Amino acid sequence: MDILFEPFQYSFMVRALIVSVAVGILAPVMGSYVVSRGLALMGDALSHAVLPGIVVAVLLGISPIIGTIPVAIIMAILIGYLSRRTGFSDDTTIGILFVGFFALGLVVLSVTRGLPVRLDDILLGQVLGVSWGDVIATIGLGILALLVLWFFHKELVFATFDPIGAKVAGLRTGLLENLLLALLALVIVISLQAVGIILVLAMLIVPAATARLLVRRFAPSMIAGAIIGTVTAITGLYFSYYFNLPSGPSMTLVAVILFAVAVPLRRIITK
Amino acid sequence: MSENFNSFAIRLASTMGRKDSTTTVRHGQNGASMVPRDKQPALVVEDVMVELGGKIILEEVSFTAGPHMLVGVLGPNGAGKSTLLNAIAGLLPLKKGTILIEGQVVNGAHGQAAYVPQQERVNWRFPATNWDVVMMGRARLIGWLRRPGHKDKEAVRKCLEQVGMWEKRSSLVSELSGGQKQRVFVARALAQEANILLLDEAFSGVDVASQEELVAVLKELRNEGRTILVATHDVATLSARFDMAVCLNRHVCGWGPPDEVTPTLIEELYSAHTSLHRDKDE
Repeated sequence: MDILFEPFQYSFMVRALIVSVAVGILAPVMGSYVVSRGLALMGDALSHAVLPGIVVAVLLGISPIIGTIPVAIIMAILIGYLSRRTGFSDDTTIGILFVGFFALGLVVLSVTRGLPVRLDDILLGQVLGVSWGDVIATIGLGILALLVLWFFHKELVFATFDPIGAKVAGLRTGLLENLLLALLALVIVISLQAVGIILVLAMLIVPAATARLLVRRFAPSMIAGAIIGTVTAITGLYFSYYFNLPSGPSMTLVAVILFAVAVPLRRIITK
Repeated sequence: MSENFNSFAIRLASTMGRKDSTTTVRHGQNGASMVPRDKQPALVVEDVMVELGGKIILEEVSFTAGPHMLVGVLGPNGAGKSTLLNAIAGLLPLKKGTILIEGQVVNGAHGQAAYVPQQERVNWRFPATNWDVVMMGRARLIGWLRRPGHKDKEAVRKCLEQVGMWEKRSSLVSELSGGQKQRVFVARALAQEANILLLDEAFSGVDVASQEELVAVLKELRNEGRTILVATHDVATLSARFDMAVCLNRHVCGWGPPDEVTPTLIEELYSAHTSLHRDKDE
């Protein structure tokens, strides 16, 4: 029992736990849309593209969450604009902006020496280092994202399944599309703290995909994803604490192992 | 005129010893101004021109369809069948002309028509059950920020029963056969409570027996008063399936009962094709 409770005598571990659980719930719920819409590259790109935002936030001494939101929104808007303007497919424009923003972040980071932040922590996630300000921002923005997903559930579902049918039925699909991208950006920015830029995709798609293997319907699979995500985040956090690992890789490994277990399990369930 | 009418109604009401004169008036006015739905054309397409990416896809397209009408939209690939349905659905801006649905100008998609898309345009990765799909049709009627109520659930049940898919309500729509998928989408169109139904290439990828089942469902809906437009390139079955046909090849090259329209226009439509066999559908 001590092994379970010992870490939480430290307040940094309590903060880490809160943020991990928030990410464990939020990322798979959002990830259900990423998986069913094929937005994985978009998610990966958004998470890399916010690097300049993080660096600037650290320079200004504000919460990285606040610094990254505008960058993510600019990125999402630019992707739509460039795809329309150049005629390249979405994945090409996403790829170009992805590397462009990421490189910009790296350059800014190496130019401004002596920042109180390690590149490793940004890239791989260091949830043990979050502040109370980060915790409050995480909870506030997380609740906001869940509320929006709850209130617009039937419209988002319709537009995801059959965008043209939804438009004919009178839904404003363009608006819904932008709403979904904004939410994706928000969830990614929150998740960055726990899993880092490189591995945000892990929390976004792996638990959601695992849930999809085990649960057939969409809304229940979102809930299953949140449960799997929470288990993943907490387990990963323990590994991170006891083995002194960055939290991103340890959570990611747990998530992928659960997925690997679910693949044969699905055979048994669907029989 | 309405003042006269009002006072007359009030007098009438008072002589009949009724206090509620307003209802009488309202009834009277409605009766005077309303055109019975059966007499009003359900769909008017007038001199429509549609341009996509600088290319004219449709030009001088005009026809009028009434209620109780099952219309086949016939034409070779690239004739503009889908474009016409999209324009009626309000998805495309018109370069010229007007489209009226039940007397109202179509100006952007406002749910006046219900649409059954080509199957390849639906995201089959999304795990929706048949129940979920039909409930989507209620989205606009339920309204923003609200959840489905008892009335919506009843409506979904009725619509699924009507197309014979109620037993399969919990199956994933992606696991159904082509014909069953179409029936579920028709049920969704019904749940939307629109009187105009648009089906884009409804028979492609559907085996012949299932095509007939789908046609039977469509005929039943036609009998209830709906106007149904189905894009098809199947000439052979046209007269057995449809009341009216629009032959489309950028412009309307024929509009009328299928028997009258087809023979004379097959030449124009399919002059480039050597065979009339229904090879494209299978």
